[in-house]
Amino acid sequence: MYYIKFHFLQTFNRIKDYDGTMPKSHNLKYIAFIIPALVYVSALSIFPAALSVYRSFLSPGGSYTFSNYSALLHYGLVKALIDTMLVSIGALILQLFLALFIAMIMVKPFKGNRLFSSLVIIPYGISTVVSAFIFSQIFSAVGGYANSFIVDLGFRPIDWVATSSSSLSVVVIADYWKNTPLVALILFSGLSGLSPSMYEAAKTDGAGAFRRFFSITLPNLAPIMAIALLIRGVSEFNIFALPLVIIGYNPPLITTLIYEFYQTSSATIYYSYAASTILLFIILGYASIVLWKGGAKTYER
Amino acid sequence: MSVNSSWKSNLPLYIGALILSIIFFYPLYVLILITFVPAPLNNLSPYPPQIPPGFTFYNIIQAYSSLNLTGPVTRSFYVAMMVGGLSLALGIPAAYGLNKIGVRTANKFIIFFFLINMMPGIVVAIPISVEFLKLGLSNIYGVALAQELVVLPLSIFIILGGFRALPSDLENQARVDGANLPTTMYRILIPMNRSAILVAFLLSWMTSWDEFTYAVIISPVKSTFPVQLYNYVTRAVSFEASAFALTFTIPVIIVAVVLQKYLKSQSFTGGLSS
Amino acid sequence: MTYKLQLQELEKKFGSKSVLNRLSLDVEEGEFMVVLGPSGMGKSTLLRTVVGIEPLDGGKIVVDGEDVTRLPPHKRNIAMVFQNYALYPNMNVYKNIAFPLKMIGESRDVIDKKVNEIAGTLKIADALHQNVTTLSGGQKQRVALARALVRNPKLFLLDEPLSNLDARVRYDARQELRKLQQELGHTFIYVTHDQTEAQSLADRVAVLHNGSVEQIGPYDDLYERPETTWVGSFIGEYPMNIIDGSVIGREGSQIGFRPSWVNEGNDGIQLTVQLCQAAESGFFIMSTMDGKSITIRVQKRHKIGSTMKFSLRRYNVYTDNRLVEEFGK
Repeated sequence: MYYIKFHFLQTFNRIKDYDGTMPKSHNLKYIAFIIPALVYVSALSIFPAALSVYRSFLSPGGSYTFSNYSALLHYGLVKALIDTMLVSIGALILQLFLALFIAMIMVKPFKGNRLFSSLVIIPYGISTVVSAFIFSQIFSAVGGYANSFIVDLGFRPIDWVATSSSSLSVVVIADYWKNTPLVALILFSGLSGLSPSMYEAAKTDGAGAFRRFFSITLPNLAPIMAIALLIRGVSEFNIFALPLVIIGYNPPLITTLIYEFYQTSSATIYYSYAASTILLFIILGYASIVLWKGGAKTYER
Repeated sequence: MSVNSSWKSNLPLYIGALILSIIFFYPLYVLILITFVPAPLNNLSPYPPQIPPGFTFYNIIQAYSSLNLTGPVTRSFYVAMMVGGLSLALGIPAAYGLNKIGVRTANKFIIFFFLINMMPGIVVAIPISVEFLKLGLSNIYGVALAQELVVLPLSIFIILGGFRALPSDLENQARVDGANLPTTMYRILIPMNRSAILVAFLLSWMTSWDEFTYAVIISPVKSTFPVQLYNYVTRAVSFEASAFALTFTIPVIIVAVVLQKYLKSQSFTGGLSS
Repeated sequence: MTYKLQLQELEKKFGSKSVLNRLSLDVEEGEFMVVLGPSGMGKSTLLRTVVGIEPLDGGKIVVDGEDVTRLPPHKRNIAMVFQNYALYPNMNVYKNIAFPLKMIGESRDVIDKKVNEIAGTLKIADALHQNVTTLSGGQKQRVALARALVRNPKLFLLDEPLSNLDARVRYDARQELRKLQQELGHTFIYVTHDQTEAQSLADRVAVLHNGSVEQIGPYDDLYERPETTWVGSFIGEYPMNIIDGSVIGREGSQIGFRPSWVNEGNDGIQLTVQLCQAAESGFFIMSTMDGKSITIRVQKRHKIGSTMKFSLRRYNVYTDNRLVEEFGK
């Protein structure tokens, strides 16, 4: 499964500049074959999203109102957004950093390379709920494997879910475990695309390992890192199953907040529409910024 | 950087690899500990030992005998099958059409499909769930319909890759030989593109097997495996949950192995080269 | 006279580029018609529109007196052999050949009989249960041909079917193809850019230029009396020499002559030898005259850089690039 994602991601950034030579008649009647898929996607994606935006301005009685949004402020929207942001940024930094390490080991030819590569990739194949369960067991206050370590080392056990910052840290750690392999694969594909002759030349010029990393590896990896950032960034913001299983609604992230409103009553569901709308626009904004910046980079080359 | 470099010069590399391997393997090790270490030395003790003090199948047997696994397994299986089937029913025609309208136009559609794919699942799932409730689709059928959204773009992309790798004259030849479009599709295009189609099906299948957000929102009761696992975790029955988690992971591994056999890189890169 | 196939003013555009430009062509029953033209002149497009896989922008296609312009390919009963043979790789040889018969709903017995018959004719009976990907180029070509022949269609279209073969195999295949066509009496339309093929296969050759038929006739006719200067320079191993008519006192016209239509002498037109090439039939002298390259054939070797004189034994006169008169025939 990861290999598919890997191949797919490797080729995804080429789609937008691919300029194939197919002069044959562009038979537009064949669009008819695409219409079912288009209708499907629109009916189950664009239409519900639009419905969400529309209903976020409705009161349960059906009149237009902004009260859903003001109620959200009251129910801790800002903190949920900040927490989501913290988790996203924390997980992204951790992932990029460790993934770069892993990818750099993966491109080196050494005995045991295959074993290492398959070992670090396993978590991506484990389902989200299963990994959430595992981490809830590692970080449970009683009977947790993390605490048994800490106690073995002679420290006092930690109640992981007591404070919001430790709860969020647990989510970040679980998320990084699950998703670092994907980022590592993306970066690996970028690294293995770099020509060895570049490094040979730099070595001949007397550039040390650090120098080579900062003046060759990083700049050349920037475009593919942008892709990783886009793909992971969007998913980080939508992170749902992990926090729900590990920490429940305390503290809420934006998605668990939406879910909680949805679960509570038929009146609070309008709050979840409002929060959904906010999440939607954050994602759209983020995606267009990354795409725009990434697009600009591609043109510069 | 030759393979025969001495152990000494590669020492930092090996240490790094070892540490990372431990970090990434540890959580799986914990899953195994919970499942196979005799109670109460597993997670039932306040500070469970890291080294297994014993080994037993009792936990897992106990969990399986006290749980009704058949329901969630069958439902997950049905949903995954439906999602896979839908991927083909919608994806094959769409990929066929995209292959015909020229690379430039096709790529615009593909980018559209992938942008739609970025839409937050929860944002889409809640309105869908509300509408499905009215339509009587708050069940696994509704879950399958919604999960299809997640897998359709990639399925189309993979099948399109397969079609692009076929010589276009094969289809023309079939038409000349007297086959109409459905026959050409059934007898020539689909058999010729079967590995890409199979990969798309299995991928959809696997994604559906894992999917949680749509499943829990649209059909919270009598739902699929991940939702059931979530229910066990929230009720803090960790034995059952770990037995479940293991059960849950095995089909994924099997499907991945099958998939590996059919993986030809052209199925994926072929989507971009005609 | 009734025609097997009539093409009337076919039009086809790709974007703003006109590929078929009011192309008209009549093909007689049992005729081997070769459509000859340089690459990219719309030869393949012509076949694709006739068989129905490429829609036309205008014009009419009539087969056996019936207008088939709007019929889909599978209702036209026209067979086509593609350049790369387009054998179905998911079927063996037998199934490939049987496919068109299956499509018209023939019974199993009839299919079996016909496939074996045609396989015998084309000497591929031994390979019937082989996988098509294991076949040699020559065998693939035969299988493609068998698949086209087996359902006895009204018309055969062949798109450069020999271009993927080795030179030696190609020569044999060419002879066989001609023999087969004569024995079976089918109507063949064969597209190629190879003049040798046109020369050895065709009853008549249609020369395609700028999307329409520039001249049609037996190959020798095209060689001897090209109706336009373009055909003159396209047909023949060496292009026809086209020079300004004033050289022999025909102001405002152009003179066209083949390299062999000259006599070497002490007077006449003078040229400087730039290249002298030995051939079986003599020596080919290449030179330039008024900036145009010319080639003549003489019996004696000449040194490069020396001058020589020749006169025209025979020539064609062209006005506005069209043939107006022939001299010395």
